[in-house]
Amino acid sequence: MLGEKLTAVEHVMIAKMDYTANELDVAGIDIKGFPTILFFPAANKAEPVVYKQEREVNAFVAFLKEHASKPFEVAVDAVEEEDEDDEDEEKDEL
Amino acid sequence: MVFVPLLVRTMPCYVMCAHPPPSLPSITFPPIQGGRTAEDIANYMIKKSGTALSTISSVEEAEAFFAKHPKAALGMFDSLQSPAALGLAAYADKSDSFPLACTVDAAVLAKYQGGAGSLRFVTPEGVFSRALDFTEAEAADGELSMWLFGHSIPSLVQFSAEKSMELFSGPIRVHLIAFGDEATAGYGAMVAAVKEGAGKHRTEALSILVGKNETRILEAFELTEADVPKVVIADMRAGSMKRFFFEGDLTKAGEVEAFLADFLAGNLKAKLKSEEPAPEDMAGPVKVIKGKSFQAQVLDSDKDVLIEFYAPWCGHWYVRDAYLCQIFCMYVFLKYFSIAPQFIYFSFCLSSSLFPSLSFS
Repeated sequence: MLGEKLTAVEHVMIAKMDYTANELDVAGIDIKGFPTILFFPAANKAEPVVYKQEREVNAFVAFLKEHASKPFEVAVDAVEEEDEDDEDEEKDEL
Repeated sequence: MVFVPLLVRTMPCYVMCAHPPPSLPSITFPPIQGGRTAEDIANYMIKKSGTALSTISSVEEAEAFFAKHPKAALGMFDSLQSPAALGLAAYADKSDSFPLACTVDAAVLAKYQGGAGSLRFVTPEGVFSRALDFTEAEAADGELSMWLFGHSIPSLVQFSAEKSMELFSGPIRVHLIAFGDEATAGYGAMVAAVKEGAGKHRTEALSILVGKNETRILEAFELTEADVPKVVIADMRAGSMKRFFFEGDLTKAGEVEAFLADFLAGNLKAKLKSEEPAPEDMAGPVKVIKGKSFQAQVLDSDKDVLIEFYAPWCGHWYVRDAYLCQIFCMYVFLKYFSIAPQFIYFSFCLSSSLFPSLSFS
């Protein structure tokens, strides 16, 4: 849902990686447990920020607004309108 | 206490390192600075109940010290106030692995031909000596721990469930693994090459022989029986395990050594798992990033990227409650690797009640 909510926000990408089938050897990225959520700011990809807040859509949005390189707006009321069933692959909020 | 080694022995450790379990704080160990074998725990108790560094004042005492302990180290100094002696005393307070003693007795120094500031380490395998230098305290402590540990076990170890405890609890987090067994063609030559080649770096990397019947370990390196014989390096110094594969001649000690030396110098690139990126990866609202597409889609992109690293066996439906998820993941993880569920119970009990009682006060 977070992904859908932000499709209109072009400069923010929401992504996921199955780390049991993919591995990275990039300085600054140390995945010690699952799930780990990292934020890579556009301006400084070398220093990702570990997301430690609630895994809940509004918390994500607030976090992204704070850290994003450009300000953006999302419709607040969109949350209730979304289909609940089309995102089996995604976690509830993403 | 009896169950502590049992719990860990049951876990296939390379497999665990390849797929790090959920970060559950309670599964980490208490600060016994050493291994978890019966011998380690006995050493720990002996050290914590007496002085960490005993003082020896005659040749007889020194002989008795080495006779009593199958693996023990003696520091030889000209003064107990010398920097090296003070460094060893500080180290002894922090390390629980081996019985340590010191002496300033000239007769002992003469008997063992040890210069002032040297350390004599006796193991069933032989006698090893080195100079002590604690100028860079922290680095020196770590280096000394690895030196002692590297010399305390054979330069080439046959992997077994019993041994894994000793191998994984030590301070050396780099393992050079030679897959193969008696039935493998060229096995003898490979063993000789690994022993000679990797033995030179025994204080930095453990050399371990793994039979091809250890299919789970093979799987952790994405190998099958058909790939054996094979030499790989498992680097577990960071959080998850990194894999390096030897492609040279398995019978040449020089090539094995060069491989290990290159690795230690940081010249080798780890082999990374990656699925093949597909066009539909980037179609959905949540983009699917793979190992090979990470650089282009995340690092080289001009967007802000929020990315979740997940494991398929960690159900997304539990993500809302991270703690529940961790318990669930741990359950699935243990279940997946056929670890009896009662051990989960153990691990919680251990973490909450038994482990603290291992700390000596």
